[in-house]
Amino acid sequence: MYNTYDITIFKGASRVLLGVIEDSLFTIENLNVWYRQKNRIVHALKDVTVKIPARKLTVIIGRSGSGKSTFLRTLNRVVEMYNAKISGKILYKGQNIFKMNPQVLRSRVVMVLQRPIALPMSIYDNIAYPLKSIKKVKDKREIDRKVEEALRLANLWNEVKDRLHHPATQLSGGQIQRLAIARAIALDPEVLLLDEPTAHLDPESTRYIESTILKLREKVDIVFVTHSIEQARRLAEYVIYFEDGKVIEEGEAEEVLERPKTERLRRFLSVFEREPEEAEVIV
Amino acid sequence: MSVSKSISDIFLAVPLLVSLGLVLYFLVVLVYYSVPSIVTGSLAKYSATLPCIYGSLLISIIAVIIALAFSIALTVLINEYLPRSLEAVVSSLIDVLAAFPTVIFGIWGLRVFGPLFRDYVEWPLYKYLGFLPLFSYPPYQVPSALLTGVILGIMVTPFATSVIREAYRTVPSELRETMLSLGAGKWEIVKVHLLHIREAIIGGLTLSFGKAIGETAAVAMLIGGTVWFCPLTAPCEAIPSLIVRQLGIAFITPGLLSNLTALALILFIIGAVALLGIRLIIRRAHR
Repeated sequence: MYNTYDITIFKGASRVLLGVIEDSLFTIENLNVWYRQKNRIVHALKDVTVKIPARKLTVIIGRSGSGKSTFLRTLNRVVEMYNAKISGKILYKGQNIFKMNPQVLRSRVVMVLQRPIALPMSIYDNIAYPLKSIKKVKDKREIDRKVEEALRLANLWNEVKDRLHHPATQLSGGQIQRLAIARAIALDPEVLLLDEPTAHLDPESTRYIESTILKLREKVDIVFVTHSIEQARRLAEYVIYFEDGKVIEEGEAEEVLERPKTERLRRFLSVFEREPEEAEVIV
Repeated sequence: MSVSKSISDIFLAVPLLVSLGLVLYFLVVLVYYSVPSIVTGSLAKYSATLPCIYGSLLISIIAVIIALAFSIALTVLINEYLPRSLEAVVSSLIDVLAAFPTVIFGIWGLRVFGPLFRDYVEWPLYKYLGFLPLFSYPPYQVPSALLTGVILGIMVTPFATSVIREAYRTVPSELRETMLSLGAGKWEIVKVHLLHIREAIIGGLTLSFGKAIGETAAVAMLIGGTVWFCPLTAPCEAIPSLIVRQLGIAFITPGLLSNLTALALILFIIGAVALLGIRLIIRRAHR
């Protein structure tokens, strides 16, 4: 009665419908991740079951080594680069990511690393090269337009517009971080995963990155990892708290950060309330 | 603090001064024994001078092209496609090749590879591209400039590979992760890695050129010993092989030893100019 094409359309439609009803970007069920570190096996994520809502800036908080970054890397399967063993299910807009082509998934769910690296080419090519080689954009004018648009969105255009063809390695740490964000958003991703993008930056660069993120939230879904509670308070709409590879608490930002339900999160937050300066060091 | 810094400066400067001194010493020796040939104009009149410079450059360029292609391909194969267990096997095989005496390559080229190369590569090249001056010579014989260049390329591949492979290994994992995170496939990742190590590739190129232009035994066995501006498919002659071949009569032929020494000096200068040129390219690329 129906051919394969029709069934594909029905599946697609139901996925869209599910997305609208559930309003969830990622649905994670019983996720476990193990990887080898030196000579031991690390159980980095333990039975994680959580939903990441669509159209909300989700911030993942937790201590160092709590599994935040591994969790983020699992959402676009970059964790597989480290020969990680994974069990459980992750649905992205209703689709099982482990059945998707990883390259297709990663071009839709793009990640910016904690210590991003400038590609060994000019500032312009850092954005143009992925556009040409990954997105197969051929038109020079289209590439120029996208490079400028991405650099403007990343608050970097004014600083580099006169030296677009200089090596990107000459940029400062904060500028490279914004260049990495520009490179990611030029690819028109559906989701942007940011792994502690301000962890190693000075306050001014941090402000720049935060204003970039606030600008981008209108355009793209963002999942953001940070260890700074102050930053989470400034940016988050939805918060997930990780401890020891497990999700301890999740919910609307105000709810989780101001009225935590669990003792473990209360203890984590209280460290910041007592000595904010010191807390940064402790965490 | 300043005393220890001065001591460390001296320790750094000593090897540099020793290398510089050695280079100058060899240069002085070569110039001293070349003077009669240069001053009397004997070198300019010596009919082998220009064809041998041409032959040396020709086979070295072929060797560099072959070595570069093979070493990049091997580096990518080892680092991107082979399982860990095979990676070690292939790497040690390449290292063993580097330790082979060059006469073994010469004999293998002459007896095994050469006849096949002549029948399946040089003849078709002559047949289909014979209208071009470079392929205009019918390859009836095994020795030829092209065969010598290819064997030289195979010989220097392990050296170029070791430089490029090591550099490839040191590329920060963040570069791969960055490209993966953007949705890049393996080929895009390889391209960015190769761009990242372009200086090492140029270093491998320099090393290959230096080793190829100075190689004597294998070249003397494979090149054919014919002094002329040869097409690729014809026997040819290069400076090191000419020196070895002519040395027997050089002591009884007036002026020949001085001419051969002057040719060795030219070889030395070509190597130095190539090295400096490549350094200049790297510096310009940095800017």
